[in-house]
Amino acid sequence: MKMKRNILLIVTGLLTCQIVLGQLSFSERRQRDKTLNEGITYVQQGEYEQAAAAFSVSLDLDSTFAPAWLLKGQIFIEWGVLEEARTALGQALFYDPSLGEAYFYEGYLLFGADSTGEDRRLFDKAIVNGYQVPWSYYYRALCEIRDGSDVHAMDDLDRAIELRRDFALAYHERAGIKRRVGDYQGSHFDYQQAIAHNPDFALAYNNMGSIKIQMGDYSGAIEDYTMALELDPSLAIALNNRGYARFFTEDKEGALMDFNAAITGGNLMASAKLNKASLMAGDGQLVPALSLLDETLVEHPDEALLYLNRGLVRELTGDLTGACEDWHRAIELGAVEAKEFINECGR
Amino acid sequence: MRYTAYKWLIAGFCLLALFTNAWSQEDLKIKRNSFKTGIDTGFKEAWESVKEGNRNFEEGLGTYHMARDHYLYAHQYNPENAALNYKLGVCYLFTDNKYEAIDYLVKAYTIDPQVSSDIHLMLGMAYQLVLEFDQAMEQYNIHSSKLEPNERHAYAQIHAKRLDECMFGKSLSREPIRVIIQPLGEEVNSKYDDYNPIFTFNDTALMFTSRRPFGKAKRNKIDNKYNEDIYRATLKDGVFQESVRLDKPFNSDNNDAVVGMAGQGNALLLYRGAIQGGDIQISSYKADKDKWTRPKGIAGRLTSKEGETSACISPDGKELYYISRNSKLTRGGKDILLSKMNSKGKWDKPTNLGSAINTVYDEEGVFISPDNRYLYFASKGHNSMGGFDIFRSERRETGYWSDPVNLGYPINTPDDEVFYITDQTGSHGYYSAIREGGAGAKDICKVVFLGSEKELIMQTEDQLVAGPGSQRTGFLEIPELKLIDTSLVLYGVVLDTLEGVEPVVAKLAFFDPATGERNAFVISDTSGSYTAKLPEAKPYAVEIHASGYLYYLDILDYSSATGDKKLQQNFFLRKVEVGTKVVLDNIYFETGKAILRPESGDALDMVLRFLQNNPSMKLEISGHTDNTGTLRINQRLSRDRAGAVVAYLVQRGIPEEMLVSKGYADTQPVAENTTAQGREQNRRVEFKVLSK
Repeated sequence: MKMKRNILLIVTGLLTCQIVLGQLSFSERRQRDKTLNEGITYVQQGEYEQAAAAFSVSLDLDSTFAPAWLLKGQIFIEWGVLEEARTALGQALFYDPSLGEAYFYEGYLLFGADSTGEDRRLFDKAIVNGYQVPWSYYYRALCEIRDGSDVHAMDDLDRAIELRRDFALAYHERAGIKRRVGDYQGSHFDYQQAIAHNPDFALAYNNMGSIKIQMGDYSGAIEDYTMALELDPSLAIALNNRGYARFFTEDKEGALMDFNAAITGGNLMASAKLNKASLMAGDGQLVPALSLLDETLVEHPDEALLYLNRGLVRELTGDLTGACEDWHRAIELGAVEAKEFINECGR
Repeated sequence: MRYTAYKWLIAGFCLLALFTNAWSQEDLKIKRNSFKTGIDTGFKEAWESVKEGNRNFEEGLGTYHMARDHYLYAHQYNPENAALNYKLGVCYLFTDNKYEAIDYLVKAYTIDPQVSSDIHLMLGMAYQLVLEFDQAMEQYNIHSSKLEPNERHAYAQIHAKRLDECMFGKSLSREPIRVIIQPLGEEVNSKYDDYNPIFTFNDTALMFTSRRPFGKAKRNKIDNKYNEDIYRATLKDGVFQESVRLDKPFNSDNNDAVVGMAGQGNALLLYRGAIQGGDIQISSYKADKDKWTRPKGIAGRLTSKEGETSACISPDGKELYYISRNSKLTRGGKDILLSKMNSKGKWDKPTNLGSAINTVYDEEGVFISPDNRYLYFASKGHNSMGGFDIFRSERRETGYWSDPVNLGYPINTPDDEVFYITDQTGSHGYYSAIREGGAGAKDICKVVFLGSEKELIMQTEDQLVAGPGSQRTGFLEIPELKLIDTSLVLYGVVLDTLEGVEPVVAKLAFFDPATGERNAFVISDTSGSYTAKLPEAKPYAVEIHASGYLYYLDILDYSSATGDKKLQQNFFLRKVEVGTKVVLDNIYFETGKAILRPESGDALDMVLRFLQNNPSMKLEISGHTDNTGTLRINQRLSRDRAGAVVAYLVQRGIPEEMLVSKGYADTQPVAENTTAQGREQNRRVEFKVLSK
């Protein structure tokens, strides 16, 4: 009994030493690495089941092998098994706290579901720990845009594009920032680049059209919106926007068709309804315009422009009291344009 | 009955003027033969309607509306009769629905351009009413051009006035003012004429004049409309209640109209049609008796037998403005006169407001705004665009009134607009007009002044951030194969073989024996230590050179390296001494010749490097044979072969003086020549160190 106990202790001690010291033999290490590469080859071929099996073998050889944990985590993400993915990524970072790619995927899992900014911190860590790939910068930029840091986002998107010249998404988001700061030429260029690298980018066409409107090119804008709709007929914002552009090129019939199309299908598009009501009011259809604005305000009770326009239509029907009420509300909600109308209240 | 009387007076003037000329109205017959179509059904009834309509038409303007109705019935039978269309157009033109006239007149003209000698005049009037001013002017000019010279003179003033109105109309309608004109509801307006609104004190009720029937109401002989009566509609929470006809003393069996309010609402200015061509009277409210007094005339000096139709007392009670036909005081038609209250509380003799306000045409419906600042009135003069238009004049500091300004289109139109007032706040106007959407005939309308032009907002909607989409992938970047670290680290010392402890500074090179590629090269330090990183654990050809030492060459197999990827390997080098002999292995010659085969290169290069590392050394390169063949041949062969090796080395830069070549034939065997193996050993090239 004593002998057995001693042997047991010795074996345990040896194993512990192995574990503690992480010592694998040279050939075991080679085998572990080779198995990892087999798994990677399966991933490259899209054969995730086999890849997962290979990574598991690798981990059987070395349970502290962080790259295998990382790759396993990525496979779980691919399968949508997110809890297991988090666990695997956590293991990777436990065994190698400098594994930048693992931080990235942890942030990736959190992105969009977290409001604490933890995802952005994880992307920071990914980059600091060497995972300086286009996607790291892209996702960090998205977080920065979300958090209102356009300047930082611009830097990250610049970097992402520098690393990958055909990164259509990065061009697109950068175009959005440029538009916000009023650099319409720059924005237009970036949208063009986004489309050049992804010709099916319907949203980019739509947004490029809106830039053209800012630059006064309504005809060009219509072409862009039309292209967006050819690529994605369900893109309601492109319908609304094309209607807007058509209106300003005197094609009221076309504009109305587009607004109606944007509105149908249960689409709660406030803009399309706002625009349709404006068109109707301009055509003298004040009562239907008013009715439409009333109904839209029920769906969107905090849309300042709806109040502003309803006030204008109410004024045209002679209801100055109602108009002034609406303009006050519009101002409360941020439509500063209504301030000049308020002067006429209390006549 | 003030308003209709003067209106028809002008119309009558026109007709009179036309009567004396080629006015063919009375001669315009709807001929039975031309009226009858090829269809018998309905003709009899239709023709009866025509005759009835003709009778009404001949009775005058007052029954035009009745004639119109008969003609409309006949029109259903035959809509293509020029005369019928003409007469319908005329009926409309001189009744309340004037805007309907144009279609019938145009049709009449289209069917028969000669339908009537005044068709162009009628068309002009109809086009003017629908704001087609250019066409109206064209028609007036055509009418004028077709007149005889004496007729043209008679019409000159009419044409000139009409053409001016068209020009004013074009100008005014080009820049419409921003207003909403809303007919008051059916609580106030009826299908009959309703006009002359007056608000009671504090705008609590609206009093107005209406020509709707009441009881045994009588029709006026001139225009066949019911007499005027005074009505009142209370305003409750901003909504007018059902209007009621006032009793005596306000209403009688004749024309009675309310024209103004005075004081704090305790005095009403009334028009009484039955008195002296129409007079203004005042009824006062006695609070103690809760009763209105019987209306009494205003001061005699203010009235005339020609009649007064409208009046207004200024808010301060000191001025009385009124409309009068007093030929002694007016410039033409009706004018606005002013009487001021004197210190005795009596109205002074009236004066004409002057040519700035009054024109040669009629003025009507005077009103002073509650702030005493503006004078509103209707006029057919100034820049009226047709009929009565509303004008406004502002009181100057001097007390005089400014030049009147037309209130603009669409408040004013080519039709009649009269009796304009404002409410107490002055923010809304009220007046009488024929408007679309009204109850019918003249209606009282509210005027809401809108502010500046405002554009409704439209907007685009964009999604500036495309984002990565909702689908997740685990491999945004496809992973690349990991570089597997198979390297083997070899370390150890290079020592002198004899001493065993003396370190040697040596050059160690490791080659792939299969490819000859050099995989590693290191130099041991002064302690003899070296560390070489080999790509992997496998066989390597190891070559070591050190100055003063024989080179080391061997193939070492590290395939089974286990444990740590570090492996210890020590090397021992043999010091070179004078007389040391080394057999050069792997030197091959062509059979029987002294020509080196290419596979000898490696071994020869080894010697080359040895000499390069030991530049002071002198070597004897000697060739040896076995005992096969003659001595002479063997001598020569062994000599030549040694010479070939020397030549190889010299060609590669080794100084000649470092080398001596000798041929020993079979004189220095190293093995027995009796065996093949021995003979092979004897066939050799070797070097001997002569000096170092």
